[in-house]
Amino acid sequence: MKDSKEYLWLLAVLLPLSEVALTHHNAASHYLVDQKITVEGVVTRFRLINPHARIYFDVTTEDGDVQKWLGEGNASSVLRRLGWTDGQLKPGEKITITGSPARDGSHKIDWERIVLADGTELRGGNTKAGEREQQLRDLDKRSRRPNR
Amino acid sequence: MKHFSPSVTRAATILLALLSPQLILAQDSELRSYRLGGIASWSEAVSVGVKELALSAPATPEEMDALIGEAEKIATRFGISVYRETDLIVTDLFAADVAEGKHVLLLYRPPTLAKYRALKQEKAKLVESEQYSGAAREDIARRFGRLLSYPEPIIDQKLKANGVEQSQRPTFSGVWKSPGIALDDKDWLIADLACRNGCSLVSYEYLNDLLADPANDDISIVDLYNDTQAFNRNYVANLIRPNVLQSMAGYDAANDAALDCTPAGDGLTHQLTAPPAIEFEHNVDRVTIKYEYWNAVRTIYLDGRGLAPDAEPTRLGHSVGRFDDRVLVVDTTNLIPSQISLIGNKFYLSEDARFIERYRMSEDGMRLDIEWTVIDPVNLRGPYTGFMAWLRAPGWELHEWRCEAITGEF
Repeated sequence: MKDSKEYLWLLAVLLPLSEVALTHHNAASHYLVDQKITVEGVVTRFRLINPHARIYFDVTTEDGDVQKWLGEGNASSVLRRLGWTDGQLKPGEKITITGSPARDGSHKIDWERIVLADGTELRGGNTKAGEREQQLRDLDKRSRRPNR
Repeated sequence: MKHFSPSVTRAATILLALLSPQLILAQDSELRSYRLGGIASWSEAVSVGVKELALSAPATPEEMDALIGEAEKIATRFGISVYRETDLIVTDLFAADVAEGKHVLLLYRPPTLAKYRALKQEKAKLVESEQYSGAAREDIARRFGRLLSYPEPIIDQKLKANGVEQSQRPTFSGVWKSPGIALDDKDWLIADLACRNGCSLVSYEYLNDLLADPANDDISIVDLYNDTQAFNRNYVANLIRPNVLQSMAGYDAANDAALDCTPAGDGLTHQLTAPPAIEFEHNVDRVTIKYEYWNAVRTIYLDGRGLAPDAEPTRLGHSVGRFDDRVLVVDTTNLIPSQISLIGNKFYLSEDARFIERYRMSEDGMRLDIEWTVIDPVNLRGPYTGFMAWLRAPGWELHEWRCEAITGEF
């Protein structure tokens, strides 16, 4: 039986493998999807909206300058179904956000993972990684043989 | 048989007459307890989401007067709502006189009552326009059954029991969810998840075959998937005409239509594969497909009309449909050329592109496989068929697609 970590990895890479992806919501059009950066900041605003959820946050540089950043995530129509709410992130909340940098060098990031101050990790709307891992293990057990 | 003397019989009759008010009271009390017990059970079923809507046993208005107060307390205890229905919708799901002259309590969570009322109103309109018959009549009953969270085979049984000659047309009425918005659902196959944003039908079948073969049990899913990807890349490469890719040279991502929240430029392929929920409504002469994505609505005409070659091209085109056995086949033309990307190969479909969609529902009515074939001789050497699976989403409603343009202001 497959190891759940392997399965999680599989799901992480499945999206680009699904072949019908258009310019709409195509992260590769705006972000360097092969590169990853990690930025720490403080949330100023969170918008759970289409076409992409947005986190507006401030990043303080080593020089003490404050940079305005924008993080883009999945569509709210997807995230809300996965349990996200308008209050998922609150102004003042410290976040460490990992994702792909903007192609044009602007302070934008296509988020892949967000870690909150208390260590809680947010991904594409799945806030309970442990439960997901178990569910995927169950799914793997039951679904390897199509029964149709 | 033992015979009693007339005097004994008379005495017994007098005794019974004396006791009867108490007996009646005892019977009434038992019936009331029984009904309240049923209401409590159904309230729990509704509160935990097992049922979207539940019905109490029908009761006379007087009986209901005696029940309603306690029933409301029970509903409140379970955090649900109760509505006293004095004129229950009559469908072929139950005998026509099941609640005749009686009141029924609807146990629900908002906004189910609005859905029930809308269904009742729709039925009334059909009756008024003398169209309450055949598939439309059956559809009303099926939708009522789904509101009650009955599985499709149970709805079939109930319709049959009420003498309904069921149409061969399956009805997909209701809301459906994609893998992308319901990853946790255990009914997905691995290949469904792999194909959650749509993939070629051949690659879906290829992966399913690999997973089904016991000889591959020791091969990781990742390796099987990579194998499938290589197969698919080769399939697509052979399908696209070589000159096509040049047409994308002038593409500028900054002009992505999604940034300004207009659906223009976003074609039928993406409408079919976007993960937000979809909803079907069946009528005798048409199927309406509503999409959360862009709040789009498509009408599939089933009235026998042909394609409309002179119609103005639109983003989602002009669609006509027919049932081929139990499969809804939809033919769409008159599409504004839109962009498509197959394994990263982006190009615009030609204005001659035509889509053939096939909607196939499982026997239990809980799964919907959607295939779409793109025929575009200008760009493709042959038809391309994509695939995506959906699961029924009882109790779901479509959300409004609220969009805010990305302005660049941080």
